[in-house]
Amino acid sequence: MSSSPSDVDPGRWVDEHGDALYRYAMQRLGGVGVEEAAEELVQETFLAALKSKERFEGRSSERTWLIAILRRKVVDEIRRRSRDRAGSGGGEDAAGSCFDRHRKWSPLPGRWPGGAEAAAELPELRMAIRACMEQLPPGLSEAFSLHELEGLTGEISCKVLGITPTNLWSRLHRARMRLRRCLEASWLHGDRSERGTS
Amino acid sequence: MSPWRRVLYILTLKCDESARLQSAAMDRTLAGYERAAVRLHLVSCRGCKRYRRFLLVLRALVGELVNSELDTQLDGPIGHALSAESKSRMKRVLGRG
Repeated sequence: MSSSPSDVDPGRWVDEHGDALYRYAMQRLGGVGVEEAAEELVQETFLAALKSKERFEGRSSERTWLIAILRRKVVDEIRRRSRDRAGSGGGEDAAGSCFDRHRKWSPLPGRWPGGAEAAAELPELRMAIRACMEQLPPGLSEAFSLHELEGLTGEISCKVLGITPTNLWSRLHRARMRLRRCLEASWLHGDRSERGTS
Repeated sequence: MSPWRRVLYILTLKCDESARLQSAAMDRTLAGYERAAVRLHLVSCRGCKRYRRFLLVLRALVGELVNSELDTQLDGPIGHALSAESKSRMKRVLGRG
């Protein structure tokens, strides 16, 4: 996997890392209707890597280096998309429909397994959460992606998205509520119960 | 918020607000009265206890997802992939670059 700048082969990069970078970009951008943008970012990443190949010192793997370049491009793309959508509020509010008129849960959230039980089903859970993240509306997906996946601080996430902290927390809350419902439908009450493990 | 309103807030917290605060607690430090309200509410609310459990599972899951990304996860057989046509086009572009 690791290589020195002298044996850089962009064609090999595309074959070895193209799909992985594409998946990364798709996941970070939200996954639905972003195929073209994700592809563009992957290509830009390879071009940027080609230009800066002298700076790759081989301390990390080639994949890690390329992902680091892609990360910056993803954040820039999210910033641009957020600006284009300024004022949209980040997607409709689905959180309200989880509660009845007395503001109590309706229905109750599912019982989530923990520890060893969850760990045993990690591969399925990973796939389920990836699929659910792709179903988030763009504004919620971007907030969740920057803050939870990229690990940006609240302050930096707000700057990138051009929103207030209150708006960021609201988006993160709505994203989590949607993820809960999606994961409960697709995993907790879906495939999982069919396998007799619930 | 006046002290009296804070007491009222603590005593009358509803599930929707509790869920919002629990989510916020993942991202920021709650004010003392907010923490107290959530704690009191959790004593008697099964739904909010389950939601708290979900938030912890979600955070662990996302952390695990991020940690696994640089190795096998991004190479998995299932998921998005560049088309052969896209790869060829990229190779042509990179060849010029």
